Amino acid sequence: MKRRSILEKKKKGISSIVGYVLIITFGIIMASIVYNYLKTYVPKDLIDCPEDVSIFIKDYECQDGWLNITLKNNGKFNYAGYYIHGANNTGQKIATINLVSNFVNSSNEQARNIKDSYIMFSALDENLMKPQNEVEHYFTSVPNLQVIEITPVRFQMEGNAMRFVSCGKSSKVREEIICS
Amino acid sequence: MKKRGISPVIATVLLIGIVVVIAIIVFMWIRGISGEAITTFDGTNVKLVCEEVSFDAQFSDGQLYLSNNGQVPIFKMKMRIQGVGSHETKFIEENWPSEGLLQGGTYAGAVTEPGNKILLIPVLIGSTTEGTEKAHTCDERHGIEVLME
Repeated sequence: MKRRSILEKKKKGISSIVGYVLIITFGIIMASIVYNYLKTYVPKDLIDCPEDVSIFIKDYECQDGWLNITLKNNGKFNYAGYYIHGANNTGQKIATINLVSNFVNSSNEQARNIKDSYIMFSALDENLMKPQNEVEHYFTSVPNLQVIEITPVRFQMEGNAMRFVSCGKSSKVREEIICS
Repeated sequence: MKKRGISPVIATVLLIGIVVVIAIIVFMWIRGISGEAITTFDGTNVKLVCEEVSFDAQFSDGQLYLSNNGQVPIFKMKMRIQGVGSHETKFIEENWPSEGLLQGGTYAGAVTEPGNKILLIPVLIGSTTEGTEKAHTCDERHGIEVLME
């Protein structure tokens, strides 16, 4: 009788431990499933340029298919490069002709064209254009333009990663030009 | 002794019953989720990414002009051309870049269908939990309406 009661007690003990282990495991699995599901619904901060990023078309010359623009950083932040688009009609509010492929050279030796989409001031992922800096860029075989639009781009740290950010919402500049 | 014996049996039955019910609920829930196949863009639910989409649109002289001003590539653009008493929905296909309208990208293309206004609704591409790519059409509130002048 004594042996049987000891065995029963032991069995009871094992059963409750197994029960706890099962409950805890079940709880952890449930929690991880719910966490993974809900974390995708947590909004992250919107990635955007600082408001004080500003590019300024200081001067331009446009003749015989050549466009020469002088850009100045008149903001408070560095930037890495820019998108440039043109339009041949002043009524067109959105310039859609990408001029990057027309870019030929620059007074800044480091300037280069990457992926035919935007122009960078550096070969590296860095914001080289400092406040008050000026740069002169040349474009050839430019169609008869009446408008140019320039949007600065930056590299920004977002969390632990460096992100490429377009400043199209707040810092796009538009200028009507006359080509001869 | 008998009374003491009933209680653990009831408790066990209750526990098993509750566990079975919870298991069924969880199973149904997970099956619903997997059927829904969460689509994420850069780790964020694509529905939330729609809030970040930013683009400009203009219609002029039969041409539609678009500019992606935000950080999210627009995979496709759905346009709903609204006329008098009818509307037609279709994707922009002519001249649309195969990789979508990337950051800073622009688009110009003709719209030949008659109508009074166009509602432009962005379509994003995300990854499902199974690792496949899936397009997601944003809600209409993320779209832009342009007049066909």
